[in-house]
Amino acid sequence: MNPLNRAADLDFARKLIEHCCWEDERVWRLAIAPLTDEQFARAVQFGLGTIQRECAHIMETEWTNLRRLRGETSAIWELPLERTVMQAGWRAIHADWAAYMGELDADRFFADCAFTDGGRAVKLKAWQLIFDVIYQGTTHRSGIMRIAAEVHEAPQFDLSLMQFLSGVFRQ
Amino acid sequence: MIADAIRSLFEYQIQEDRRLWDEAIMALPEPAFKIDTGYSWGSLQRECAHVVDVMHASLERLHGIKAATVAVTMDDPTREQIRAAWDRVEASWTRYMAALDDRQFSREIEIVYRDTAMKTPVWQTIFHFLNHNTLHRAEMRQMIAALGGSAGPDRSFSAHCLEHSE
Repeated sequence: MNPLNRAADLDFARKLIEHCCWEDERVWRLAIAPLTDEQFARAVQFGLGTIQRECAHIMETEWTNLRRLRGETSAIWELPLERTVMQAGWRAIHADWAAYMGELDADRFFADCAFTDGGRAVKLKAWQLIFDVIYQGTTHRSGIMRIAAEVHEAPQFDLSLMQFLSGVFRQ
Repeated sequence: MIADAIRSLFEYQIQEDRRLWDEAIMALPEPAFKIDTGYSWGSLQRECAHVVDVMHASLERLHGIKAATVAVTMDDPTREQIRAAWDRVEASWTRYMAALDDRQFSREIEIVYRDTAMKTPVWQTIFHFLNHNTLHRAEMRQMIAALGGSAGPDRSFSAHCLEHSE
């Protein structure tokens, strides 16, 4: 058994994934929900081009990496385009992540995950896939905020890990 | 072991910061650096100065100090001046991260965040810094695009890890 195999050792990783899911939900509620369908899909000249695509990209990374962490075989990601379907799908992904992180121990955190990427067999550590989700989400939520300012108005809140962790400044 | 994983994340962070500086920010015409893009901190100048100040304040916090000074002290800094301050703070962070161990990572420290005193584990301030830089790199890329420059996307952490495992 890994000497670090105590639940408390991985509290930081659990908190970071919890923040990621919380921030996804908050961005949806405060920045995306006020948009019209046209604004949601309107093309701009930076980032991934639309809020719809930024959301889909975050969702796809969260979904794909979780499948890899669970050792599930590849499946084709089907992009939900309609907003209510997308929101429901995203919440389901968040629930799956919460379940996975609740059972995570140090042995699994440091274990290898083998999978295929673009037809190539590759291997990453579980913690590398977890951090990948955390940083992809941070990057693309920033993209959503910027596009929302372009197609509608600047959202009136900051993205901040410390706000979440402190609990004092949560919206 | 956890500290090794965090060091790997830190190395990724430093590479992406430098890539943005070298390939995109320094490639812009000098006046573009100070143009107000109308979003977030407005200009790249103000955005970069803000990021390096937070890097500095976060590290001071880890040493138990409430930063009384800013990293960028000039009123109207050039790119080179901000980059020099950035490099100094980054070097201090590199020394701190090299000495980090698992016990230190979980140790509780007293901090003041937005004028509120609180006790938090060290990892929260480390991840605040990592998250904050990532967030602002994304904003800077959007600003660079708005200024007519070219900044490719952040390379993902998994792509970084695969590249370094080969």
